[in-house]
Amino acid sequence: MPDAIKILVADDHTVMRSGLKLLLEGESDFEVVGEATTGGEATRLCAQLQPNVVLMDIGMPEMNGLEATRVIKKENPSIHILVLTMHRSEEYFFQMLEAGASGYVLKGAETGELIHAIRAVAQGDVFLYPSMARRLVQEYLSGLEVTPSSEPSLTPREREILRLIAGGYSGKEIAEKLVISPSTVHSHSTNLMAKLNLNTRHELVRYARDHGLLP
Amino acid sequence: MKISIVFVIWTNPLFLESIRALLNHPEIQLVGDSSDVSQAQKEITSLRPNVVIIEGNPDGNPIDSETLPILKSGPRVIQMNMGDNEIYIFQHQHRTLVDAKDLLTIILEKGDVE
Repeated sequence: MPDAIKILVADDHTVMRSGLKLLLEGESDFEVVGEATTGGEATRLCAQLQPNVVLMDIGMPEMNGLEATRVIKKENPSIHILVLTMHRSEEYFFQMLEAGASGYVLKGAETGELIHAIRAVAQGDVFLYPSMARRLVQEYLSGLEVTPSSEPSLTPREREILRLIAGGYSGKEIAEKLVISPSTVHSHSTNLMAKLNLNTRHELVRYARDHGLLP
Repeated sequence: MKISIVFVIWTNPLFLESIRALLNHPEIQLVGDSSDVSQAQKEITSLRPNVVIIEGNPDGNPIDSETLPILKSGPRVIQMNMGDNEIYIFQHQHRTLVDAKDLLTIILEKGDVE
């Protein structure tokens, strides 16, 4: 039988914390190794008990769940943080993910969802409550929409020259290939660097590689 | 052994499950639960619990127009929420005045909490 998943419950709400402990102990593969009522206590108990998963509330006295997550992930990167909160706001959601949380579950969840989430994050997976996952996808898609317009627009000739530079061709070789003068190639290269805010040929090559412009 | 009969009105499933786990006690019998207040009122009338636990909204009133009829029907009402550790306890009492002095007696009575 595999080792039980060691869980620390960090929540200042007395009924929730005690009730959750009893609920989770009903699962044969779970072991609740500790309870914390503040973020500071959670960080201390993590160092002492080395749980696999911390069930982390956000609003707690002394040190909130966000700060506690940052501290725990810095000191014990292998501990997985699963946020269990009333907060539906995007601000908390993204801040907790940035702090290193592996999952985000709302207290409105079904018990089965919470149990599934604990097992998922214990395995190193990410679990996001469906409504919060949708926000993450929306954020990602909006980022995709913004990216192209924020990139400098290159002319077809500039893109062609950038591709050849990235392909290792010299200025003279590019001039011969495109049947233009070396000074014209040099002029295009200068424009490229100015548009892309780059300073060297090496940076041009790296830009082309990062943007899928290799020949 | 006196058994307390308890009914739970809930909003969040985890609240109900946590309460259910905590009420596992030989002197407590959880007779029912509902997430619908109207349905709960009918079941409370039928099941006649001593105590009704209500999961309230952290930003709402402890007792509102929906829960007042439950309080009037007799059980002790314990209202709590998942946002903080505050707990509100309500007990409806009904008496008939025989003498005007009875009013003074009631006013001067010490409550459960000083």
